[in-house]
Amino acid sequence: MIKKDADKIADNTVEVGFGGVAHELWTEHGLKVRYEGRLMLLAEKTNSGYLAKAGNASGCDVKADWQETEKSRELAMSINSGSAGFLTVSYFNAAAAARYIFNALQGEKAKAITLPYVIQKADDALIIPEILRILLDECSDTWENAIATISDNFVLKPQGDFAGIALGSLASLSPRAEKLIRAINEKHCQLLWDLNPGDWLRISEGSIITDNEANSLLLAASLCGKIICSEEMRAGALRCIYTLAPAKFVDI
Amino acid sequence: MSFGTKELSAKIIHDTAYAGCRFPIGAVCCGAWVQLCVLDKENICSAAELIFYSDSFEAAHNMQYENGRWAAKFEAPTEPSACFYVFKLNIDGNTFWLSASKRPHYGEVLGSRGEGFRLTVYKPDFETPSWFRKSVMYQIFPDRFSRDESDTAKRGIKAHTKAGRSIKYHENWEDAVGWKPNCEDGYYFPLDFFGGTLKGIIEKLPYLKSLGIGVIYLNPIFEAASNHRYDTGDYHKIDPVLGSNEDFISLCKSADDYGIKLILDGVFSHTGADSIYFDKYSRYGSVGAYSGGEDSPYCDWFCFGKNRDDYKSWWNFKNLPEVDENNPSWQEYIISGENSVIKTWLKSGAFGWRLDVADELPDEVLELIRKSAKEQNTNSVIIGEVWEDAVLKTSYNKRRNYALGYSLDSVMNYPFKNAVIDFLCGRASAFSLSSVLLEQRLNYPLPFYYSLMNLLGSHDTERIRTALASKMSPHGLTREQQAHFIVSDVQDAHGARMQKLAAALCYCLPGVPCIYYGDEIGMGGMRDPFCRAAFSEGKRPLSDYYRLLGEIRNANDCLKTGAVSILAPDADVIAILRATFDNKDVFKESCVNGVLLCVINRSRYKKSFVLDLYSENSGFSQSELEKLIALSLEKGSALIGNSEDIVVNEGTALICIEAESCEIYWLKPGE
Repeated sequence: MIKKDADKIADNTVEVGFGGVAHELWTEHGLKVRYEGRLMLLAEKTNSGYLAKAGNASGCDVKADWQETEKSRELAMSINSGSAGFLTVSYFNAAAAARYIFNALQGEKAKAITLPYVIQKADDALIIPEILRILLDECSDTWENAIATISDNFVLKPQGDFAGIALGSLASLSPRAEKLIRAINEKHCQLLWDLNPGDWLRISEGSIITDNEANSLLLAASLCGKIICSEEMRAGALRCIYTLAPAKFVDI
Repeated sequence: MSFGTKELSAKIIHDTAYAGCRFPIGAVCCGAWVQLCVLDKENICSAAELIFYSDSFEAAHNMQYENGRWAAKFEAPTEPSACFYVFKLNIDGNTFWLSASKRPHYGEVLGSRGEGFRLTVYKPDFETPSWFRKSVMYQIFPDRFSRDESDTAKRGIKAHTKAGRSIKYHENWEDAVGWKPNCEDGYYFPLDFFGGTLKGIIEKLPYLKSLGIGVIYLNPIFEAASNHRYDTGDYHKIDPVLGSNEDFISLCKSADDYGIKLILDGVFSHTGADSIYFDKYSRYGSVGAYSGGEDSPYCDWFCFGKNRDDYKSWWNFKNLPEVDENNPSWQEYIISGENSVIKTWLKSGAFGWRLDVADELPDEVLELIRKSAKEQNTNSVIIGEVWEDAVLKTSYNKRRNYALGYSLDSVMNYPFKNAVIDFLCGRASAFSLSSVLLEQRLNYPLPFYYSLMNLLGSHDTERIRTALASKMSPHGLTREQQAHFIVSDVQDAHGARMQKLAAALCYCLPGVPCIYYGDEIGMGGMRDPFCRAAFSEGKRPLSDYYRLLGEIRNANDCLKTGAVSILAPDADVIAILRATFDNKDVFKESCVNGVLLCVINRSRYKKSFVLDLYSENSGFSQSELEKLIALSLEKGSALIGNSEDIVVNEGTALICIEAESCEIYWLKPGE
């Protein structure tokens, strides 16, 4: 069940956090995650994507607030100008989209995106760990419920190549997203193990993570509830997902 | 960097069924080149060493790292042997071992040396008869299969009675078998006969032909005191209850007219105490070893202690005195003489021998038997009764070599039977079953593997119907409990459904599928003697189903001697893929091309899943897999089962299979 969260941000913008440290605490009510040191930006939805803006400072100290705002502004400028790294831009767009998707899940009509959300390219795949983060950390959802929510609301329809996600670099942008990708991979590999016990060869070939890089196509496919793709892709790049969950697939 | 052993197992990989790790896969001939590799994409190891060993040697080979793997290439030993290997790894200055895991063709990294991966090395000239590999076998317990109209059996009973034997004749074919104690010592002796004859078998040949049978295995037929005849009285004489020596020749000729060959049961580790050789009861008028002492020509065959009642006997059964197989006169009589037992019956028309308790015969004797039989008829077959893995078996304080090309063509495949029954009774998953089946593919020499006698039951086990219906092992039950054991109608119905799955597995795997007489007509029964009832139809006969399986097998070369891939897409589902390419089978003999897929669902629920036919580590060699891929299979039509055609896309097939059912598909390329 999705829990509503307070919305402190102005109309047509959502918050996106970078870096920082996530403190995990298991309580009697489940996992509680507290963030510290994140650099917040704002993402304004435009016709062509998302426009980055400096975020609101955390309000602890005037000087610290000013420094934080400056960093946020610099980052926003680099994202908008394209001078920021490819992964940084991708993560920003994915995190913004994830927030809009979350709003849609909450039933909000404003600042929402039409569901189910269709993942078509590698950048979109980063939405998955980000929406998972929101559901787990901010809504205190259970893993099973969060996965079910994603499955119900995401469709994979690959267009073009899906580049890998360097997890080392992602960790500096969002340590929690990196950790969740690893957790997704672990559970995915467990499913592979259940079907192929002891077959490390098959498990390593089907793993989402290889050489510290996440296969964005497999990442998306592992959690999306529906996959629309060609027979060729089904038998090729998505072969291991097809053997695990054939019911997901819809032929083009 | 620091990894636990489980993490290392995921990154440092050896899989004996994968050509990228082992080339070639499977058993190899002496002197063949073998390449063994360890996949290590992240170059975690700083050094790797292959330790290759057998019972008699151990050798280390340094491995070279290239393209993400450590490799060593070497020549297999020049002597056939059961070999093993492990990998010694250096990781961050620490030593780890990549050894065989519980699923032995997969590896796991351990902190200490574990079990070795297996590599069987066999004689390069080892061949098994081609006709046998392509046959379907039917095992007959002669006293219980078929009577004939003549008075052969009754005359035989009279002959035994006249000789002083207290035997019982069942006038009524439907009688229950005898099992109650009937001897002075309070034990049960199998002395009740139902009067099956060799002429009776001749009359049933058309029926056997309709089942697609190519070879009949006859339990012992030589004269003996018991109904099972494992206590041989005279190796050169057919038991009079069964008929005469001429009847046997006639049976062989008649069977040949139907394209059926016969193999006999050779009981050579012991004779009967009531025999011309031992003659404990002075019934033969010969000078047996028991009473004749040194005057007996057979006295050196047996081993006596302080007095004549103190003699070595088989498993201490006093009616089964053990012979000394190294005795030259015994060898001459049984094996190598011009009119030896082995040769005489081959000359009379038999096409081979099943050797009783083959693991109790010395290797040298088994080699002599092979030599003698093959000299008499190069196409004769020698099958051994061995209950365990034939390559690993040890007895006489050493590892036996009879599976390496020295003596046996193959063995009765009891491990197969046990694994299939465990799977269908829910005691083991499809993953376990596929592991057992794949291990046989990988560890048995190819000619041996394709000649395995794949049985689901025999005269020494409970019947397959009972095993699957009751789901229990009779080992803990007394004879009385077994006699009164009741299988309910619901259980029998379930057993029948499962038996069809078992039979399909039997017919679709490499080896010789074997029907134990009566299984096809739904007979049930616990262990000996309850599995030896007279041939009569059970409640749920499956003859039509066995007939259909026989037709499919005989019509498709790929099921006989095609390549095999064993898949387990689900814990309840096992699939067998068979294929022949380029009009050649795995022995390079001419054949018709074909690809067949057998899928078995043991569960009470319908299943949908995707089969990956291009699996690289399921039994196909690299070249077989490449040829399969090149076929570009696109669809499969059901030969058995109720399903519609299946679609195959780049080697993936979405299968929907009903509960407790079997589908056999003929796969073909697109039009």
